[in-house]
Amino acid sequence: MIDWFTVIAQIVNFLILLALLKYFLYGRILAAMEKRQQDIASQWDDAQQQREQAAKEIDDARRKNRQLDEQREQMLATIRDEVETHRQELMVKVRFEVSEQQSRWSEAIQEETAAFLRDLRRRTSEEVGTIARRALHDLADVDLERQIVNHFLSKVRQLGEDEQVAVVASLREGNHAAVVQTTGELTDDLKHLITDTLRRCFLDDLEVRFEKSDDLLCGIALQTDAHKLAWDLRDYLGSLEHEVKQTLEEETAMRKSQREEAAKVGS
Amino acid sequence: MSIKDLSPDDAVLWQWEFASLNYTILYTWIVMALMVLVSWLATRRLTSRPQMSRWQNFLEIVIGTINNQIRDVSQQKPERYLPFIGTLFLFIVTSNLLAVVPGFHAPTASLSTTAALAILVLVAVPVYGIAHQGFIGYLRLYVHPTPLMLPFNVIGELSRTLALAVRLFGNMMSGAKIGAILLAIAPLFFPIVMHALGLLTGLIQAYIFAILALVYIGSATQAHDTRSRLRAEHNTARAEAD
Repeated sequence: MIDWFTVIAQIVNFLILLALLKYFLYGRILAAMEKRQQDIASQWDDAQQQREQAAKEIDDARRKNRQLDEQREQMLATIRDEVETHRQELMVKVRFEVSEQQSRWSEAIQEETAAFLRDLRRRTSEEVGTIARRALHDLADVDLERQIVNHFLSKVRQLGEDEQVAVVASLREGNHAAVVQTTGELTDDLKHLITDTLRRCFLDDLEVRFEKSDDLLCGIALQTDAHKLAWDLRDYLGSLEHEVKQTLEEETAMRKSQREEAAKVGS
Repeated sequence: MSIKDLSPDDAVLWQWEFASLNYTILYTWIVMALMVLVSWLATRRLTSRPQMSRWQNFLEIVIGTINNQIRDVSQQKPERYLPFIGTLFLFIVTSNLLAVVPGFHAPTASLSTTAALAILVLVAVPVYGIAHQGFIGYLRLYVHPTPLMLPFNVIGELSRTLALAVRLFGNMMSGAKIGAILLAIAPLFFPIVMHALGLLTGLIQAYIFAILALVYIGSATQAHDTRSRLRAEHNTARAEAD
């Protein structure tokens, strides 16, 4: 049954086949498979490294974003503080300017009021003087200046004893000289009347000097070093001036409150 | 070759002295030429990229499967055993599958071929065993567990070689002969079924032959590995105890 030559030949054949397959098949196929596995492992490692790199870069990017956000918040906070500080400064400046403007305006108003009142007083005095002079002349055929002098002299005569003593003392200290101030030029007889009356009342050797005064509206005044006796129409106009001044102040206060309300509505 | 001839050895084409060229040797050469040709063609342009030729893919599956089987059965690295075990399996399976080709005489249906393969296994077992654990270490396997077992071990070695040879020869020869007889009796349908069954039988026989060879070789090498592992575990336990 067994052909031993064939057995030996088959053993040789098998060994030859084994050598050929080892060279042509196993070595090459295993090398190719090994290389593929190495390539896959290498690619896997590369992918892993890239994934780790990507994760690291993502972390870096997130950290940078956080830092940028924080910086932005800090910058915004700084800008807000600066803006608020600047606004406060501007508000203070504006308030100061408004206050200054108000004080200037108030001063201007007061000046205007004072000028108006001065002008009013002057005009009123002139007009009242003129009216009084004409009325006295038309109704009683009396001269205004003479009436003023008479009224003044009657007040001098009616001075109390203490007052009279004080005036005399004052006149003595002033070298026995007195100044009589009037609104306009007096006639000579009025000047004599005054001089005589004053010498009778105070000192016999009194030297009287007459001069015009812008301070008087319509009146007469005796001026010594320490005393002044006067009658002036200004005294009668004081209440009128007070009334006008009060009216002006009320008008100003009302306009001011209206302006403030309008400013509130506008804001 | 007639149906009376039990083996293709008997069909002699050329004879000189004791040397003869019979069908067994001729068809072995054909199988060898075919296998080498396919291997050469498939491995001419190998690529390590995922895109590869069908032949390369097929051979990689075959070689990969054989490699895995060797690893599973022997529990060792398969590279040392792949050329021998792989060639055994591929030669037997190619011969058996080609048996369905009309006019082809499978060399594995010859007792001389199966005896030659069994002798190769008989020689490979001590060669691998000695290469793996030395001459003394291998011979010690025959007196294991006691020297009384020596004759039984020797008889077992020879009997399993004989069993290898006769199992493969018997299966392949019977398949071929049954096919031929049925072709004479019922030539239309039945031989096709028997050929299909023959394909399955041939594949299984190739698998059995290769696996048994691997088990024999593995048993000659694994005993050493087991002893080495036990010795290492013992040394580790002693070191830990100290």
